Amino acid sequence: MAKILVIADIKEGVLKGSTAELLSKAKTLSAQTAVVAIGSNVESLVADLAAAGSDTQYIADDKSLELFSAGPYAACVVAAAQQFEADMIWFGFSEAGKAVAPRVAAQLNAACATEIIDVTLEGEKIQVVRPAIAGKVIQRIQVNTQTLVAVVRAGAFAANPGITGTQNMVKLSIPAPDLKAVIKQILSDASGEIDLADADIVVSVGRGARDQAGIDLVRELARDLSAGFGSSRAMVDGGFMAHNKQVGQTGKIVAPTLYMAMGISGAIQHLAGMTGSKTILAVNKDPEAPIFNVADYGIVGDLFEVIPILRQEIKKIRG
Amino acid sequence: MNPLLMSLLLVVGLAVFSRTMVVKLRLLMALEPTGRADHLLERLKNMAIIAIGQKRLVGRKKEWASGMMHALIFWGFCVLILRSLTLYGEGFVHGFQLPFLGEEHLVGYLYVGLKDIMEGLVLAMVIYALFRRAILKPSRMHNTREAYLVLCMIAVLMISDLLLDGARYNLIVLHHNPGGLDFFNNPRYGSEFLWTPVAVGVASLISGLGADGTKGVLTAMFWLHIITQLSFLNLLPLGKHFHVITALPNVFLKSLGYPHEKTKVLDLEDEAAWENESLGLNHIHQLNWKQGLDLYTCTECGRCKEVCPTYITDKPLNLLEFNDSLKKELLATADNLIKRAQLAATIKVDGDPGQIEKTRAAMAELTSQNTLVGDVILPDTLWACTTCRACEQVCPVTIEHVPRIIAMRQGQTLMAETYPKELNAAFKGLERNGNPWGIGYDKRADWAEGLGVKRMADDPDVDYLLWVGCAGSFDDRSKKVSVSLVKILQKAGIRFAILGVEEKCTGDFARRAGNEMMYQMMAQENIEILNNYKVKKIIAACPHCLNTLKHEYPQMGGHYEVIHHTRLIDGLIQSGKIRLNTKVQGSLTYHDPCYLGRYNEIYDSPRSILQSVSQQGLTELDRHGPESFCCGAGGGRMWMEETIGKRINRERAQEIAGQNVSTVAVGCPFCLTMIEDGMKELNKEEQIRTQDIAELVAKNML
Repeated sequence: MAKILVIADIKEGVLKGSTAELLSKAKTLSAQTAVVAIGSNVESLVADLAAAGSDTQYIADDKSLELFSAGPYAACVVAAAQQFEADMIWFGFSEAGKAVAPRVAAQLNAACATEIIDVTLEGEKIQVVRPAIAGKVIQRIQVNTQTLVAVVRAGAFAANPGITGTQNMVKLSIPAPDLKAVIKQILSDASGEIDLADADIVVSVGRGARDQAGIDLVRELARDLSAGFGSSRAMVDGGFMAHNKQVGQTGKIVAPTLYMAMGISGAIQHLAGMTGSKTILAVNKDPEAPIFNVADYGIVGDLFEVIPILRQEIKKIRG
Repeated sequence: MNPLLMSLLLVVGLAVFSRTMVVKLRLLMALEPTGRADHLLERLKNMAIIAIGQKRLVGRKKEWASGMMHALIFWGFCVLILRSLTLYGEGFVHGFQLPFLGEEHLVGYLYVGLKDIMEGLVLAMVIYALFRRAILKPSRMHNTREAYLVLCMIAVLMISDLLLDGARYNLIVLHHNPGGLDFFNNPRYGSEFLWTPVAVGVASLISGLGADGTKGVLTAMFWLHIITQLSFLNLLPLGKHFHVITALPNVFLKSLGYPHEKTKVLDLEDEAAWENESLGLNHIHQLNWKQGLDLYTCTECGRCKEVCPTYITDKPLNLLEFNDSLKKELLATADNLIKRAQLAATIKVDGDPGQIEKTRAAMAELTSQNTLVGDVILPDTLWACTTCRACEQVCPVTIEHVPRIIAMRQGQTLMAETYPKELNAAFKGLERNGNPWGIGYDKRADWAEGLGVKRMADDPDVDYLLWVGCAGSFDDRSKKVSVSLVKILQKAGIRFAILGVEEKCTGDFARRAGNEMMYQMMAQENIEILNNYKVKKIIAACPHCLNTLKHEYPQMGGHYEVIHHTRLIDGLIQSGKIRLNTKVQGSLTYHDPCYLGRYNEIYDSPRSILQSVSQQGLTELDRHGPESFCCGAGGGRMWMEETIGKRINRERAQEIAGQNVSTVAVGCPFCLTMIEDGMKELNKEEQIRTQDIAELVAKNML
């Protein structure tokens, strides 16, 4: 029976859904599951962690772990993995995961695979599946080490709503702080909007919005949909939007389930940042706009007319 | 006059000067090698036109006054060298004359007259220069005490010599020549003083002095002139006036065949180079001697920064300071640098490995601790450059700024891996799909669907390969240019084909962003395909592709005749193969792309086409031709964010918008994007259409 250790994804004291997704997948492999939770005041999450599908909960709870720091986090994961004798260690997709996974793999002399979308067990051997060459091919990789450290691509596994676990807390000793680099403070986007990289839906605004009133209108639509709010380069250059909102070649490259381009003509530098989206909806006055070449759904019209109708319809559907 | 005193002055003056020069030369010799001993005639011609002819000083309308001022001082000095030699001779032999310059030759008289006028002119120019520095204060000027000192010394040289001649005149004419002074008095040409109006004028100023007083003035002025001249000579190598000595050789040694030294094809397989961090320009000892000479020669005139698109838009790149920072680092580390080079010369390839290692360790000890990027030049300064070459175009002493910047970027991209992170997406796109946007390579020829364009794979027996480029293949706006060009070629019956999916980015932007590895990858793959099809002639609509295919691929074994589409179209119009039946309405202007104009000197073909196709003729922008203003996208800047200062494309768009034109023509896909975006930002995209020349022709041809 394989033993799978999942790293709990905790943001601001709340356990994120991806933890249950990973644990659900682990259960489908008939594995023994454990979870490691690292942070400050994470002990209180034990019940949630068990409910998410773990049978053992390794807890590293200390004030010194409040802010993410790769060295000490990796030490906690290694300690948990050794105690649990894990065959696989899974990280959900996050910047922290990307920073810690290679450290853990190096310390455990394990294989490390990123962006995996599937894991299978062929007898004793583990196989992982991951996209390569910008998503053009899918690789199936056989892992020849005893242990695998993997970073799972966002949304690769679905959570099983009926999943259960058992509460069995193991406290980990607290590692020494990292002296090479100390994280003093983590600043988040002051706008309080959803991070573009995390968003399932992204609504972006372009020159068609003309001015602040137009931008506010598109922002409202983004709020209605709990979507990330992005921008074309022209709006950033024009000083209407901050650069961290820019989607495109020299800004953020996003690939959400739904991308809504509002008043964006679709210059190539913008297309380079969003054509990986699953579904693209474009609203633009100009029927010749290049955005319609990549859009799955296109509405030719002024966004000032289209967006209010869209918002009404969304409200209706959401009841 | 006094042979003993003259000998003493000459020995001391020349000894100190020689010592200074030896130190300067030894430092240059310690730098990296570069070959400049070829094409001597062409070099002499360059020197005659640019240095002696002062082409870049008097040849620029905007700088005509100051250019003329400098040229007259320079030419004055050239004339006065002979006079100086005569005076040194006079120190030893009474009445000394150089061969053919005595009173028996007309040349002697002509020289005396020319010298007299030049001294007057130089003095007038020095006064103008002082006025300009102190009162007018042009913004590009870098005012220093040294500059004033040198101007004053020149004034002293002129005044002392004029007074010397004035005193001679007075002694001979007013005081009946008590000392038996020599002067020209050939019955054929008359008295020497008929030829020297300035000296005679000066003489009248001191005519009140008695014979003894006048004699005193003569002696004093003689020695003042000699001493000032020797001091001047020794002052020159110590500061920016070193250019008086180095400018001629620097122009003589300038790069030939391409406007500046081409980027070196780095040997990326050389493991030792990676280990020693010797790829790119990371420490001062990696400059080559010509680059060192460039630093010696910088006159701090500031023309480079005045035309620099980044300096104008408030970015931290100030080329004058860039040079100065490198020069300071070079001079501060001179001793170690020379010792280091001496050690390097002792290493023999087949020597004792242990000894070699010891020598290498000793060399490492002597290497400057300062990194060129970071300690000497700040990263924001380095990455601001668009490689537009406006600075090099105006530099009167042909300093090559851009190759150093690219070499430093190589160090940053290859070794330090600290480069603007936005470039990552473009590099990744290049690596995976052969285009900076990372669009699927299989879509490269989609634009040509239904146009009946042949692929080389189907029929390589054509006259031209049409090199489409990434923008022309993938960018919806530039695709329209590709389609227009195809229509023109088809109309003219040109036999051509494209590579289709076999084409990749030429690697231009990667190379200029310092990613030599990516560039070589692209170049190798492209050259292999081109050579496979035995391609000889290439048409390119992108000046960046053109430049790389034409000038850089030969370095790696790709030799083709590359022609820009404007050249070809111009020929087709001239020969009547393309006939225009309608004209562009309204007035029209043209934005010269840097890589078409300054890099490849194509200025006339685009203008000739535009004259044919426009109804009202061509309105020139203030900054046009060789002094055109960059759109902001060159040198890899297309793929980086412009976060400091004003935006370059907006600056240019504003200049165009101020011209009252209804069309701005371009000949480069990057310019097309940048200028059109600039127009959109100004909300002028409807009033002023940005169009490629090919589009204008295709729309108006029969």
